[in-house]
Amino acid sequence: MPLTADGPLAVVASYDIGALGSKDGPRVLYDWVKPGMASLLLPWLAILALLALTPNRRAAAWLIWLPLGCLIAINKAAQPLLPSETDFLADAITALGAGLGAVWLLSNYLRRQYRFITFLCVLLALAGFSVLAFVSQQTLSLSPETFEVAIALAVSVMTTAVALGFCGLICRGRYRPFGLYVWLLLLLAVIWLVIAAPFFLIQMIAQGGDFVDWSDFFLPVLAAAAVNFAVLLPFLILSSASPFFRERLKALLHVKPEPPPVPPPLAPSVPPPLPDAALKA
Amino acid sequence: MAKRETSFLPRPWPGNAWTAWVTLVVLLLSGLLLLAAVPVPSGSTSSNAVLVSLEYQEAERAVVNWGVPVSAQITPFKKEPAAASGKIIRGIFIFSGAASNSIPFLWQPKAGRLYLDTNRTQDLTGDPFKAPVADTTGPVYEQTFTNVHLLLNTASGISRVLADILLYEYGSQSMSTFEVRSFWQGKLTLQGRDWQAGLVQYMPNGSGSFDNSRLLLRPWERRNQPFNTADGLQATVPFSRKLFLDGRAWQLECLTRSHDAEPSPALQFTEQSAPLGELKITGQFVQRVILAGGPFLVVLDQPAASVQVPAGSYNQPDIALEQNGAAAYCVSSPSQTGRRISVSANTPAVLNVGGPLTNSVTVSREGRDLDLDYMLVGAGGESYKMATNGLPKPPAFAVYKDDKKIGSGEFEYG
Repeated sequence: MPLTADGPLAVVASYDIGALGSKDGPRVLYDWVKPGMASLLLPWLAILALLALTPNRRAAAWLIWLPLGCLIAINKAAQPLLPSETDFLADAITALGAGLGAVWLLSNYLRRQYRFITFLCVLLALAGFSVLAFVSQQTLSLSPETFEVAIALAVSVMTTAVALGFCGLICRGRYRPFGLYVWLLLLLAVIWLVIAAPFFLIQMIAQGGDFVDWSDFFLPVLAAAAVNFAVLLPFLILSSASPFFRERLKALLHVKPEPPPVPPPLAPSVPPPLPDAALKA
Repeated sequence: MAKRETSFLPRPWPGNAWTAWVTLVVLLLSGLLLLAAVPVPSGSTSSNAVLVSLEYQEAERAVVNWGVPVSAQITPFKKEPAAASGKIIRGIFIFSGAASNSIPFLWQPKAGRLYLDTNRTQDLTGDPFKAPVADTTGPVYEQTFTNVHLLLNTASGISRVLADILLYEYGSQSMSTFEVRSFWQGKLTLQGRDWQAGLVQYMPNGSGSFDNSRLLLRPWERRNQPFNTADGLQATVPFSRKLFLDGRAWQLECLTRSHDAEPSPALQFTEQSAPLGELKITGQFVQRVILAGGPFLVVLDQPAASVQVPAGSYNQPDIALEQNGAAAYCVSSPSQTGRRISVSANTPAVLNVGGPLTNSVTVSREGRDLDLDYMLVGAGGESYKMATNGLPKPPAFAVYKDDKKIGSGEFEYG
């Protein structure tokens, strides 16, 4: 629906049914109340509020809008191309993106001495801001589809936080962007498979186990992992490109700080030549 | 004086009369034997029974689909054709009922060939059935092999079947659909009106019984129109021994005789008496109404606004509408089975179904979206589907605000 539309609407269904009836059906009236702009803007206002925090009062922090804008643009562009059955994913992707943006801005506060505590803090922040973004896009009328999106979002949040935690453990020695990308992709795939496997096994047992099509299991699960990685990727690229966010990510992953560069050995100092004595005289 | 014999015994016949009598008896017996041997056209077997002999018939299009399970065969068969490029799929079509009906096959998707072991000798080197292969580069997931004649064992003998076999690979599993194009049919005449009567068999169940069949019943003049048991237009109805057709109640029996080991079915309609009640149908364009779940299976063909049907309680009807070439149908859903239609001898029952149909939309809110659901509804609010060949064009919608169109689109199936 156009965001500006408001008030009574008339909807007409049309279908050529020949001599069995009229092509146009009767007008059905519906009083459409446009969704409140405040609720739609809530997650982005929250990001603005995070930008006001002391550690984020730098121009570089505003680069966080780049991955967020990128996600929203890709989401909008992909919607008409994808089957309508995947429409519900758009809300989950936007919500997860908002959550990741918040985590990237809050990393100074989320970093703790112990890796596991950091993981819990990341999980809480990611879940909190993702849920805030998700709820602000919904109305009070909850449909079964809403629950499907909520479950997909919950699994994505958990998977992302766990993958970031394990990735930090694997890459703790040295920050290498490419290695980080590959490890995150692999970890996301493995974690998604581990989460989905019990459900598939239960379904298989319920069906008597006489028909097992493994592509039914692997394809959707790996597709979900790929979408999850695609949401994370703009933030990873930002961290690679911006020194400000690189330090944030390294802090989240508990990567050892790189030793300061060794200064080149100093050349032996040669005293400046004295002025010619003859000239002095 | 000669004494006159007064006996009941016949007098010895003169030679010519005796010969004539014997000839007559022989002719009568021969006639009876002949009648028993050849297919019997529609006619009376007794004062209130009609017998219709059915003949094997092949159709251009599928009349019924059988989902035939496939059992994978890992090891090669005893005799196999020369190997072809690409994947080779071995399996066995498993028909319910007689195990002897199982048909081993070898499918070469890239080559578009299907080898069948119809003799069940593990020899698959016979002539293959061929399917066009459009794309030779990519994997082939499904193929249709047309005009496959099969012989299946039933308790009554060997039964012929013509089918197009659709084979498809779903993951690691092969599956098949037999689009059956053969059925049995004959001409039935009831009170001067001709009908095409026949049987469309579901997958053989080994019992040899035709109870597991659909009964084909439609006016004789429609006999050349294509039909399918799943098309919703009610040309076929579930086989029922208690049938109400053309205003009369019938006891229906399927008799099976064998000719050269092939079962040849016949339908015997024996008139029954049943208390009737009035049923009023309010809608228009009603081509056919099927009432099941009652004392008789009621088939109403082009019913009038008021008809007589056997008194009793029935499920919600299956309905087919037709007007000037446009056809639609309504199949009662299981959720409607609680709402019964009671027909009594004293009070008329009202069936509020039929046309004209209305393109209806229900509107609800789904978050920031407007959720539109389309339904084609009849006079009583029942839901119809248009009967179309192929994929129909979807219905469309338009949204207006103050008479200005602000949105439009097409409904998606689902």
